[in-house]
Amino acid sequence: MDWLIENPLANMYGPLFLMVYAVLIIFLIAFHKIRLKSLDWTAKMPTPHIPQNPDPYEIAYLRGGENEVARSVVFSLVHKGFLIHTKDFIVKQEFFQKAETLPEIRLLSPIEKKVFSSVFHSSKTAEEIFKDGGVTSAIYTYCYDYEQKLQNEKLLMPPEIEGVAQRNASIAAVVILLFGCFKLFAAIAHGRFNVIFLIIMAIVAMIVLFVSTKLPRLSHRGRAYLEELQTAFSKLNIKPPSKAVRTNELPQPAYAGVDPTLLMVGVFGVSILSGTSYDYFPQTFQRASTHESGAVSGCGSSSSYGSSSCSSGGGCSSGGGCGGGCGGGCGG
Amino acid sequence: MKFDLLPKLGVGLGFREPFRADVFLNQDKIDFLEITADHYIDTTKEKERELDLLKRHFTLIPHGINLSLGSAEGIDELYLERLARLIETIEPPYFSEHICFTKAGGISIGHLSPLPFTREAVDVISRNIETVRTKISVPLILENITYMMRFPDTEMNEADFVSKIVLENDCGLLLDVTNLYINSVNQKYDWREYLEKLPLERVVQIHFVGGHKHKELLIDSHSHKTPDEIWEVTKEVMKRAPVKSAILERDENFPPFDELLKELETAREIGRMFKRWD
Repeated sequence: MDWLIENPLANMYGPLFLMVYAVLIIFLIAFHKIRLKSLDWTAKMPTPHIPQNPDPYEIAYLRGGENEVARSVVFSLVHKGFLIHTKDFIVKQEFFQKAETLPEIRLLSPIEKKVFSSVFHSSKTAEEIFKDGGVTSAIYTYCYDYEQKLQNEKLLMPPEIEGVAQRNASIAAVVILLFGCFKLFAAIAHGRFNVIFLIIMAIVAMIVLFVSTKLPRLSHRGRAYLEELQTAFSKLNIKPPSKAVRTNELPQPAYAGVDPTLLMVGVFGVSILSGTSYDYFPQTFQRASTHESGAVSGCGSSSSYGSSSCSSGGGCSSGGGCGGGCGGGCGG
Repeated sequence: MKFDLLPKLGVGLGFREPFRADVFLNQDKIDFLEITADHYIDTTKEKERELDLLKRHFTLIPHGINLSLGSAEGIDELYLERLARLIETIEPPYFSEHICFTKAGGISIGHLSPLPFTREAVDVISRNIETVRTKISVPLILENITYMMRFPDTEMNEADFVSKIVLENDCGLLLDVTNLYINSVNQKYDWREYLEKLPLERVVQIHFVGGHKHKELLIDSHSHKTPDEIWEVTKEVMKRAPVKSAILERDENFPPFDELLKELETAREIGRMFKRWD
């Protein structure tokens, strides 16, 4: 067994071995990353047609998960005049609360009715919207349906691709670790204990491997579809608040029953409201994000219903009150 | 070319960027789109994406502006190649251009300028159409334009001029009923008599829209809803010509999209009345 610790690799001068090790790590990570792109077979599928009656909430879910749906629902309730946005300058908090005079309930879609009746008994801060018992909890079943539908249409990354990607990453990780362990073993056998750089390098390689090769939430098909939606609807105008409410009218028939402003929010996120009469919206959620930061996961918090990346065991993750959002350029 | 073999496209809209969202939200009310070819020639990535998106959702008819079929100096080869590439990408059943010139001495005039109604102008256009056909095999249909003044030494009337060009070059006719009406008022002739002289069996498509009045002149500004007088011309043309498609060509002073849809529906009804489409 002497050959194990007496060979050119085992005897290689430390810094030189670290260089070889670094090259191996870079090669494996790059190879794995390139392989990831070819794994996504949805790139060969045609992009779905843009529906005539697009569901803004489904699009919001595609773009950024349940937090984006929650923001869109709250926006719609404000836009339709069911909620008002208020500021308490003493405690420096912003609230969404029930309007004093309510429009007709028929103006609300089922998801909006559910949120309005189950969440807004009392005023809510932007942070509370994303907490347990907030909007994200109320919309759980709707988000579950969106998840299933988008998965069926292969717009979200198919779990089988994630499985293959994880297997490939594991193989790369094993090679990196085996190579490192071999040198570690040889060094200790030679009575050399200055192996801290080797260990650090292996740990960093593992982190970089798993972070840089994490698959995106959307499949290639999903990203292409979202881009097409954003191209198609980028010329919609943001309408002033409550116009529909004043007349108790449903959205204009020209938009096939779709509220164009809500559609814009669904497609682009609340950041699209900057510079409009809803300017406070992105800012409020941005502040909510700042207050909540550290408590929960990240931007857009794209929890997956029934698939891998859900943060809390029961499916719908709570919290994640990031005002920013991600995906298709929402934020604010 | 057997123009009766071209597909019946129905009633569509001249696509303009501000309508983009509206056309996707009203796909069932718009049978096809006419795109201005020049907007997609040598253009940005964004416009390329837009074109691809439109193509996947609608039948597109490219409508050229700057081919300048009436230029005595001939066709701009580079422009023609680019137009040919665009048409190859879109794969339309036909494409359209104007009976006019927009370039002279290599300079773009930036306007659809009328030609003198002479044999020489017919020959110039014929030569240029021949050049176009070396690069583009898709059927060409030609549109009548408006004009404010007539050239001296005119050898024929407008209707004869248009007819000769269309018949001698085996082209289809894109009859702009608004232009026809405006010319008939400004040039003081009877549009019904004009129609009598046209080879109506060649009419493939019509354009309609409203313009505005400036003193005693009608201006083809594409800026108002189609007035009753032009609907009357439309009815007469639909009655007599085998029209396969109609386009609302609105460019300015955009109303709520509902109003445009109403105009499309009116044109659709007129076409149905004369069994031009279902």
